[in-house]
Amino acid sequence: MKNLKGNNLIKSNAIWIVFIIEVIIFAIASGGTFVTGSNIVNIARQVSYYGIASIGMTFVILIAGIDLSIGSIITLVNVVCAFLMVNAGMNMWVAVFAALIMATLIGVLNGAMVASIGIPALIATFATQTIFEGVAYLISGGRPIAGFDSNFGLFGRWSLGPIPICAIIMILCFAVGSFILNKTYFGRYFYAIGGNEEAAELSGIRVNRVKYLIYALSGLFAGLAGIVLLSRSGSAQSTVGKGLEFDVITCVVLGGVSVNGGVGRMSGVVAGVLIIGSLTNGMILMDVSEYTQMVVKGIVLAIAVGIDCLSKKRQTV
Amino acid sequence: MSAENGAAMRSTEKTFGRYFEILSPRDRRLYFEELSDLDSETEEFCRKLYRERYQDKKDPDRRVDNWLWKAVYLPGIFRKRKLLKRAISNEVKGTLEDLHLENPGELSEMEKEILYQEYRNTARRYLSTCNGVNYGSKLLGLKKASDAEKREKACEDIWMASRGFALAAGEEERMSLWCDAFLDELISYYPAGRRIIEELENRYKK
Repeated sequence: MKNLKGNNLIKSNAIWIVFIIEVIIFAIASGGTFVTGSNIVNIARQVSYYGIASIGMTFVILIAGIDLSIGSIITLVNVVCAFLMVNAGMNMWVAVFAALIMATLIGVLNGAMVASIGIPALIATFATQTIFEGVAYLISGGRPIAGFDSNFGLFGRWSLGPIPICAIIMILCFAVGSFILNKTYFGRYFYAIGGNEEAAELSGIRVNRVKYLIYALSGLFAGLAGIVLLSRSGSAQSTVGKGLEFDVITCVVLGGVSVNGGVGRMSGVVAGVLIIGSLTNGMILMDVSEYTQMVVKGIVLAIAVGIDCLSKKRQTV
Repeated sequence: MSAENGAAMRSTEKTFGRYFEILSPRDRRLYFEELSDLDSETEEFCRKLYRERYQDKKDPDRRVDNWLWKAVYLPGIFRKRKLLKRAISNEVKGTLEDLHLENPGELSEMEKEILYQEYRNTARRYLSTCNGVNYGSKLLGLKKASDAEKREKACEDIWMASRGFALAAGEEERMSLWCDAFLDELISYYPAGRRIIEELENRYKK
């Protein structure tokens, strides 16, 4: 009996056990550098933007959808916000607000294509990814935009005591995401649509409206991630978000959100974000090349999806 | 069972056979209006259940199925049972109240029978959605589920919405009518589902 309880405990916390093992391995391999205070703060800064973006992606994957446009939303928000502040001389807060509105509207556009027109999410968001990547290039002319108000460092470079503000923003976003999923009717709708969309519709849920909302939230969180990244880097680049969607998807799937929809928890996604963040940081510390990092992350994504598919298969035997 | 209740039950079986088979709320209402040989107590109880099941309290024009919603979201609550112990207890209270199962011992035989049939109708409506193209699809909807996979998923869903939820809530006794109706409907839809249900039950108890 004790053995069974132990097994269940291990199973339900497997993702956190993986994280601890990863930390121990990198701590030993880096001779302790990995677990120094300054590096932990560095990891917190590194994970903050894709941690924020992963919240919206969690909602989307819960309804068995996908949002490939997250990377280009992050890029576009970078470019537009920087353009408004530097080239148009707009107030920092107004520029941030405008960029977030734009990101949300891109999400609404994704929602319209998926829910109203019926384009598969993979294709619809791939199309918007390409469109808005192009738009970012058109606005910036492919050149970096820099020279922001010094206060703009608030979102990505400033700290509150030892804690980076971007990490605080991420924690707040996770709290909001968790609240939406666990404490609101909308959270229930997400699980219900992911579990059985037709039954959800028959029971009275306005499925299309919920899909609009989910994609809009995904856009909003990606936009917020873009602001944090822009503040951290100090200049807008038209390639900054390229491939970020895959890191975000890896975090979410690794965190136990099923690619089949309807199953997943925000706490698992937090662990997924920490694992990918530590992995990236650890590989940088160990001087692993960027290309090798891509290979490793790709393998991690394949393993995470494979485990999800296999566990589902075993369950339904 | 009293003679009066026994007669009511037989009458219910005969008269309502078709009423409980129809899935569309609108067709059910039309059929019900045509029925003429109902005693007033039965008729009143049926109307009450119909209103509770299909009427949205906030927006009367909106089409809902409050009981089908239970079948849809209770599996989600079951999955999160370890995380949301307080939510489970709130959910149990609300579910028992909505399904008239707070004090099942106080229900008359006629009420029990009608509730059982109405629950089965709910399960049947849920199962009717389990043949859709997207039901049980995998990998972000890219891989469609086979018929066998759909049936297996339907079994899991039905079990989680009934026995699974009742076990997690510790309310097997009070929810037995709901559980029996759901599992009976499942077995009549998919006889081999009994084996899957037993497996799920054993896995849960471990």
